[in-house]
Amino acid sequence: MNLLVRSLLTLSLALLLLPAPAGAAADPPAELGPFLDELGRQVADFRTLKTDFVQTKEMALFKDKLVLKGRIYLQKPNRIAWHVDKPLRYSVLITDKLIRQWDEETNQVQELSLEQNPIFQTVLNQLTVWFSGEYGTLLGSNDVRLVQTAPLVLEFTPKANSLAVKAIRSITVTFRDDRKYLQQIRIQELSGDVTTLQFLNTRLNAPLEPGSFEVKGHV
Amino acid sequence: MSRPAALLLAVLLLAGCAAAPFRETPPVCMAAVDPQQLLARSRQELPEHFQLLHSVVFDYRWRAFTAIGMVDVDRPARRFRLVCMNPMGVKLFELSGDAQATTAHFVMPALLEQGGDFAGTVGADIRRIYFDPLPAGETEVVRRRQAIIFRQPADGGTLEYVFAGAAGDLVEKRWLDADATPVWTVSYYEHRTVEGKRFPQGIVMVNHRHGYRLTVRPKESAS
Repeated sequence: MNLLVRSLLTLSLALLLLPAPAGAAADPPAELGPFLDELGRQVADFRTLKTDFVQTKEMALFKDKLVLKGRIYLQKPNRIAWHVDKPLRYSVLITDKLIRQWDEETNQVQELSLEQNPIFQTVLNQLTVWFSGEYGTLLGSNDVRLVQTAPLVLEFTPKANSLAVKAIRSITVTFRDDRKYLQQIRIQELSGDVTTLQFLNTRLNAPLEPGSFEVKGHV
Repeated sequence: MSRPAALLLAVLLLAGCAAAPFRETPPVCMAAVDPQQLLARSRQELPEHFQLLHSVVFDYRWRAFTAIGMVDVDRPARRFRLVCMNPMGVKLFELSGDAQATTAHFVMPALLEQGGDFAGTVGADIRRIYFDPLPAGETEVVRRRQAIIFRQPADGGTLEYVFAGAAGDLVEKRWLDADATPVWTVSYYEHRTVEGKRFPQGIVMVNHRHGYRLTVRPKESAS
């Protein structure tokens, strides 16, 4: 499995699901292990998520940035829809059994087996890990540093024995001021590329319309 | 199904597959166009160094796969850089190259597992699409009523450039092997002038030998 893909897809998708710690306005604890464990325990209250996103890619080989905009809908335990609105319209639905995707260029809906698609399989597996609240396991493969408390910023740096260390320099996660959700994920790659994923208009546990998980001709 | 009906269906299916999703260049009579003046004007309107964001649809064996690409082309230096990612923003490959060689900076292992020289193949397609946009050296000029064709020897075969339309744009470039069999064809559609330079708004490259097609559309970044 590709390390970069694993890192970009799994960590970014998974990290965006981080809930706020109990007592959101309180300072984070000195020990990050229990802090991350506490984050995991909060997951049980998390059923649905809807958010807009802006993904900015700064690539070492290019002077112009690439910006993608879209929406993410998530319903536990294992249903996620990722809609891209710009620069092209694309939708993918990932469940525990299948992947269904559509794009405006082909205007075709493709259904793929999750079993035969290791990239998407890893995404879902990692999401499941996050839902189960095993955040403390991040400490096994990453050095975690508290960058600042207001807003809360955590930096994950792959350890030398981690698979991600060959591709990722660091992943920095910024929480909203109220710490109820993420504001931004910034992934710095060893190649010099930087990907920033900003979340806007995020709502947790909001009702999701059935159309949120339709892929063809989404609006 | 009867044999004629089956043949008709096959022809219709093939025709449908071959149809480009762009408007054909409206034909005009080219009888009064001087080929050398046409080339001189085309040279003036040729973008030399540009960076484009585009979508790419790769069609192969009845399956279509869409990606987002960013390409930087420096024609005078004969250099290119290309990054391609899936629509979720996951990088698939990143290459750079010149007229002869292609360097792979990153290629997703799943693509390498398909076998063959992945970077070399992509690099060759980039050169076919963006490099050598005008005939050079000794060329044979073939006049058609609605097109001017330049032919020049290349790589043991013949490289043909077809110019047509009111603006005399390059609408097709194709390479034929020694048996005059088309090996690849690049078609350019819907040209627009941007800051005095002509850019096609649609490109279709067909590799007849390997049976795949690339459809390229420029896109605007969401910023």
